[in-house]
Amino acid sequence: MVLLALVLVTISFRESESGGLHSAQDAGATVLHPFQVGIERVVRPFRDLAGYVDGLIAAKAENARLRRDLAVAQQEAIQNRTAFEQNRALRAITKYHAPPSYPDDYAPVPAAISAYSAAQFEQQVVVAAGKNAGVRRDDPVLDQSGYLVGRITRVSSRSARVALLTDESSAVSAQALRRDARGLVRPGRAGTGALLLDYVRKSSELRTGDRIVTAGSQRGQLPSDYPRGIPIGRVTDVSQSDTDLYKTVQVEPFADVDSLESVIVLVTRRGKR
Amino acid sequence: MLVAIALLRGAVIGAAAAFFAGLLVDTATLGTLGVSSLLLTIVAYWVGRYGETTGRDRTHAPLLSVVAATVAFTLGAFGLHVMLGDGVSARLVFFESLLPAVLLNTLAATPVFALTSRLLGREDGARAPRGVKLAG
Repeated sequence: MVLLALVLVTISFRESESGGLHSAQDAGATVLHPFQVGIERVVRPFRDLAGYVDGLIAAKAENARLRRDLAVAQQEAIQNRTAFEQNRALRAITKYHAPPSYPDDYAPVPAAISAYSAAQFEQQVVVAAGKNAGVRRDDPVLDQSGYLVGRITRVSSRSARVALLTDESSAVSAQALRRDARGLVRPGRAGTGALLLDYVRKSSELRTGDRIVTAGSQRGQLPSDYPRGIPIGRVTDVSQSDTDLYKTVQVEPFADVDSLESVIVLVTRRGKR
Repeated sequence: MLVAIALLRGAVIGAAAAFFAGLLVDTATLGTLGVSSLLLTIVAYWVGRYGETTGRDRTHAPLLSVVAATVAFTLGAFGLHVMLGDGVSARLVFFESLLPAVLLNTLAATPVFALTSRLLGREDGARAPRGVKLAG
């Protein structure tokens, strides 16, 4: 059995996603899907209870912070609306051909979390939507509030695996809103849920509180999997030293990846990104 | 439950159950097929051998086995993921993941073992030592 398991690991690891073993696994996942949903429903109340207690502890501080954020957001919403209308008018005048933009060119596919990774330290989850719902590999995944939580790494017919932003394999090209600062968002110190904005030039201006969104670069041989403008998080600390090539920027993600109940997979309406 | 099966039914049946349980887990989570099977098979076989030999009729055997199995599975999964080239944080494994997993599994150990014992019943033959020769 140990030998058989080793053979399975080897084949599963080396074989392409269209291979026989992966196809069999996909078929198995489809068969197991109803059971997964059932088990998740049984486990959900216990997870909710833990989340409720955790939420109560942090509620007071969070309430004060959210009130401050709301005041700022209300001002910005008015400014953004004006800029949006101006932008739309200018695009019409110049007949500007834009790449797929978020959210207009993407269809949301809501999906419940149906399973968590077997090894607790893996920051990956399984969602109950797959090829049948139009989900494809590398599709961006958001939480219910529209904040980025990860991307699809594997798809079967009725489920898909999501690598969360805090997974060691995650990397998202990102930029600061209203500032000339670009970089790569990667997981920060493990277990903290924080992110790092890496490769930010020292000449870039960036401050605590700045919001980070996906850069969505469509240029070059490796265009980004993410459309431009999906909110990722807020800068909590910026530092630099003489010896480092880049700034050290810490980012607190907007999405709470530890208490996800359901997600939204963004499926492009224009075919290939 | 796998630990309970291995303790109650012996190493071979425990390992077989663990192998298929691992296959189910990897299939359901769309993970690398065989990883959970490999780890669970080894852990369940060890627990089964412990149950057949030194752990026989010891009341603390289920708790001790669950703690040891959880630690072995977590560390084994970490090692295997590192070898497969997956990005895994050692800090997350040792300080964030291991302790909650041990606590949760230890809490669940006694009721799950009791439930499994009731479901499977005791089988004296399976609990007899196999391949162990006592001196004296």
